[in-house]
Amino acid sequence: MSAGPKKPNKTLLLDRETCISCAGCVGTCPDLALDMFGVDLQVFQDKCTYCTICVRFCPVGALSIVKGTPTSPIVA
Amino acid sequence: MPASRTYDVVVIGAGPSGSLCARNLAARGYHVLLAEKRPVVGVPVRCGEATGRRSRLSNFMKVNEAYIETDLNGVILNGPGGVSIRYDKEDIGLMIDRRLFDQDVARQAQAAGAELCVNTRIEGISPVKDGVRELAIVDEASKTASTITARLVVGADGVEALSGRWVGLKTRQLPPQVCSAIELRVDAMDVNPNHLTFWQGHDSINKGYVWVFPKLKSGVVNLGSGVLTPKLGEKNMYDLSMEYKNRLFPDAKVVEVHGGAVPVSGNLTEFVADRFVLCGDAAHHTNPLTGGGIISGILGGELASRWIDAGFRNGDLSRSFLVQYQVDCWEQFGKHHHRQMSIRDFVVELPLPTQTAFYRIFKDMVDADLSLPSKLVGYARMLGLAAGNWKAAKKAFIK
Repeated sequence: MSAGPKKPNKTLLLDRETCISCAGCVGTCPDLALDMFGVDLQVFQDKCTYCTICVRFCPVGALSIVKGTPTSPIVA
Repeated sequence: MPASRTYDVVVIGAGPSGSLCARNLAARGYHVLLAEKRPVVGVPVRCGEATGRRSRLSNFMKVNEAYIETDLNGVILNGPGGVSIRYDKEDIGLMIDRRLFDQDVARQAQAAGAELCVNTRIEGISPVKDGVRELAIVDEASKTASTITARLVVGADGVEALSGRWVGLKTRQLPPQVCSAIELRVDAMDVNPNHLTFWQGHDSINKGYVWVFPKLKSGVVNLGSGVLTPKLGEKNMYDLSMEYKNRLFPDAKVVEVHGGAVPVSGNLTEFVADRFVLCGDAAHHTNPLTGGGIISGILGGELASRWIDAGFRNGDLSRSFLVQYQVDCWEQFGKHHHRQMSIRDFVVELPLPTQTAFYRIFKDMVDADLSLPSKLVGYARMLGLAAGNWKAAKKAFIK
């Protein structure tokens, strides 16, 4: 599930304003790191291996991978 | 919340495929739960909403005029190099309102005796134990968790299906064979209100197509685009659709945006397990050329219900028995989908001049009303074209 003992210093960022809740990314994720709860897409950072597949498949460009951990100030 | 703790069959997902399967099984007297995670069946719509002709739909159910939007009388296909193919033929298909359609089929399931539960989310499926599978369910409204048992589970949970992955089937949407699509509902009417219009090829979008599907009754058009295997940093489908919208309907308002992934891999090789079957988008029962999956999803649901019934009657719901459902699906539509996929792979492999030539041959055939001589000449020319591009042909047709 995780990318080895040390997680890379990255975050899968979801722009909720842009997301249209189509759930296309859920089926493409190899690590089950995305799931839909009602109309809310949830990202499980601990499962994500930053393979960028969902980023490529998001038809509106709502997903991106940025440097930094979710709590660090680098993440917008 | 489901009324009971044990069921004969639990169907996950109240789309057309799942609802139809539930309807047929309930009508045969099985105790069926139809679990839908969303609060309302059919919402949100994630579909281009074009489907096959009325007569095909009526094989499975009484066609209800309420959800019919447009009777389609033709197709316009805009290829590369300015080749535009117009094919006119009465009754080639229907535009439907998927929200009303899904609700209609779910209602049929209810009327047959299936228990429909909305806001019911399945969180996991256990391995088979004592002839049943246990399902962890969460009521989304009250956030309460519970478990129910089922003698058989049908996964009809669509493109984001996780149910198959829980029981160990390889149902993930693998990147070379999945399409990323978006659709805008535009408050305007197309100049060809009874035709489906497509743009494909190097001049518009090669590994996919742009579509304009008119919904006559509602007075809107579905304008969308889909592409196979987008690369990082490529223009996303939303921007491309907006480009077409601004060109075709510059003043019109976009009422709704929806999208998603389209499984275009052709039928999965494995979509049954012990006391478990998949149908519809979850089993990738989608036409890989057009991305259409309503009729094949319904047919998959129908076949699933037949084989499940046979399994119950024989007292054998193991993988080795249910495999016959897989074979049946391959015979009925899987083969056809596989051929369509080869055609798709061939066309997208062609360079611009050859692709234009391909479209010209196709246009000549259609302009001659697809008469037998024109078809023979056309196929001969296409063979010539394939021979000239044997690398692309080999890649597409010999796998």
